[in-house]
Amino acid sequence: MKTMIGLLSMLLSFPSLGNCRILTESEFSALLTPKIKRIIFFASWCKSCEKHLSEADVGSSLFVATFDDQAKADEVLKLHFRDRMDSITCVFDQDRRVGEKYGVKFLPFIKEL
Amino acid sequence: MKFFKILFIFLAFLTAGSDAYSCSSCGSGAADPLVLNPMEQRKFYLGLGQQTAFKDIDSRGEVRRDLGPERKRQLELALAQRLSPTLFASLVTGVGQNQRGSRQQMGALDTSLNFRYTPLLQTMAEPWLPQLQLLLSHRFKTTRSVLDAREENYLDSFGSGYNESFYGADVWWGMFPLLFGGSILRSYPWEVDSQAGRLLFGEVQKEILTIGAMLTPELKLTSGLIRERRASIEQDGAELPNSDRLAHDWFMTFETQRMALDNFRLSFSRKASWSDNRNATQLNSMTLAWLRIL
Repeated sequence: MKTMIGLLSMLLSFPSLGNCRILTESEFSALLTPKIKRIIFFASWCKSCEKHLSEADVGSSLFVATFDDQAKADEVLKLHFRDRMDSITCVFDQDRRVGEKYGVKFLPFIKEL
Repeated sequence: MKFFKILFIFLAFLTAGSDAYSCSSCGSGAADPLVLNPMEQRKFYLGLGQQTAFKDIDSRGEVRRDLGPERKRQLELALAQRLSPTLFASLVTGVGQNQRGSRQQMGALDTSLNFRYTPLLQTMAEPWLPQLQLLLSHRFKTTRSVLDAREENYLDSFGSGYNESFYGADVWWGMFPLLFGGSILRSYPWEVDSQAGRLLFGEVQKEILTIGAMLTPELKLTSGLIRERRASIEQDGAELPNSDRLAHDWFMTFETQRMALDNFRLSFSRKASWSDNRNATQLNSMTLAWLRIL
C-alpha cells in the first residue's frame, strides 16, 4: 500500500514536460528577474487574451496560464509563438496561488512590474 | 423618454473594459440570469425589469385584450457561487410591482435554485469545439399566482403558482467573430392543489437560437429566438382541451463592462411576437442588470 502511495505521489509530482511549468513559490520568484517587465495572465478559453499574447514582447514577459488546463494552455502558446517557443517563459498556475497573489479575478490580466 | 434616459445611463458606462463571456441562454430571459465565467468564484446580480403592452393570445391564436396588470416591474437579485472548477450554483429571487390604472401592488417573486455544469470549455486552439453547459434548475412556488389571486385583475399575482424543475443543455461557439449557439430546456412541473382542483401543468420545452458579435472590445450584442411549447394542462387527472401553449419570442441583449469587476446588461425582448402563438401572453420586456464579481 505504501509503495502504491509512493508511486502515485511520484507520478503526481513529476515535473511537467509542457511549456507552461508548475513551479514552487521560490522557483516562481526566481523567474522575476529585472528583465521581466510584466506578467501576462491568460487562459486557453479567454478569447480576449489573444490580443495580449499576440502583442507581447516575449523577452520581457512572463506568461502565467491560470484557471486552465495545462495541455490546452500549451497548445494556445504554440499557436501564437510557433517559432519563438524556446524563448517563452510560462508558468502553469495549478493551485491558483500565483493568481491569488496578484489579485487576478478576471482575464486577461496584465501585471506591470 | 424614460427609455432614452436608461439608454443614456447605460451608454455612459461604456468605458474601457475587457471581453465578456457568454452562452446561448445568457441574457435571453428564458433561463437563469447569472452565469459565472471560468475564473469567477462568486458573482452578484441586480436586475431591474419592466414589462408592458400585455395582450392575450387565445387557443386559436387570436390576439385579445389582457385583463391582468398593464405594467409589471421587477427587481431581481441573484447570487452565484462556484462549487468546483466546472460547477456553480445560483439563487435567484426578487420583488415585483403590478400596476393597472391607478392601482398597484407589490409582492415577492418566485425563487429559483440553479446549477450549471461545464463539461466542455472553449479553447482558442480548437475554435470549433464549443462550450457545453448542462443546466439543472428548480423554481419554487414562493408567492401568490393567478391560481390563488384575490385582487381584481390579478394585481397580487407574482409567481407561477406551482413548483417546476428544469434541465437542459447550452452549446456556444464564442471563438469566432460571429458568436453563435443554441440551448434546449425541458421542464417537469409539479402538481398543485388549487380552487379549480388538482392541476398539473404540461411539460415545457424551450429552444433558444442565439447569434452575437463584439461590436467594440467593450460591447457585445447578442440576439436570438426562443420557441416555447407547453403540453396541455391536466385538471384532476383529465386533460383540459385546447390548453397547450406555444410561444415564439425574440430577444436582444447588449452586454458590457464598466470596469474590470463590473458588467452591465441591457436586454429587450418581445414575447409571443413571431410565428404561431397559442394560449400565450404577448408583451414587451426590458431589463437593465448590473453584475459584480465578488
